[in-house]
Amino acid sequence: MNRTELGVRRYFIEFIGVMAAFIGLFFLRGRVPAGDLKNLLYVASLIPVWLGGWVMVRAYRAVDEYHRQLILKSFTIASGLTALLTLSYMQLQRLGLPAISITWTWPLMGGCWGLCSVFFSWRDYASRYGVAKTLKWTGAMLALVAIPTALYVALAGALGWPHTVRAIILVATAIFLALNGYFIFVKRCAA
Amino acid sequence: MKNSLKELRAAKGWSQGDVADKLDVSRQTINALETGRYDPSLPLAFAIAKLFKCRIEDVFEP
Repeated sequence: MNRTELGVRRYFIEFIGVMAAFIGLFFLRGRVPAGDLKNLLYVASLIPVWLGGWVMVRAYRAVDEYHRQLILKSFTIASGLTALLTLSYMQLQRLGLPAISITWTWPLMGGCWGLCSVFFSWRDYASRYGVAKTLKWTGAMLALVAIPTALYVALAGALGWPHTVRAIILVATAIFLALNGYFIFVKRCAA
Repeated sequence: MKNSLKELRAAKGWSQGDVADKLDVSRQTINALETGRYDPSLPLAFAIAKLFKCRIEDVFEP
């Protein structure tokens, strides 16, 4: 196993760990009554957020130069798309569209980043394995995002968790990023 | 930039994964180099030339 594969495997273990910690604290603070403990949980949930940033920096430093270029390219396009979309929505709000919380910026940017990564990896994969196999892989990945998200929605309904749209998007984004990376890097590095 | 990485690799009987492991990069990087979608840095170009025991200009041409 080369440096890039090791770095990416480590990234997914660490990323899933910090996301699990964040989602755990997210749900826990929703069930705790207002007070010092709730405030502490709000502050504590910032720790996995910052650790997530550190995990991404570590992953960037661990991968080889081609992947660094792909990461930078995806991130740059995602940042530009997010800026354009948020600026456009800001203008459209003046025409009467409802105000949206700034917290939506993260799922938007995460989604743009994921889509850009998928696009570049899709092109890479198609050049080696052909379009038909790549389409099959893309369908499998989308199903793997949709099925756990649907299961989460069902489970949240049954157990009485807060199944707001924001929580569902958070879960879907986390699954999408984890699977995206797993399929793109780990599976294909080993191919 | 064109390169003869695929031919050099085939002559040695190595897979893309073999070359990737020898250069400590991912298999996708070798694929991107061979298909001309990525031009390597100077350190990687030197490493490739050293691996195939030839000069950089024998592997890459503008």
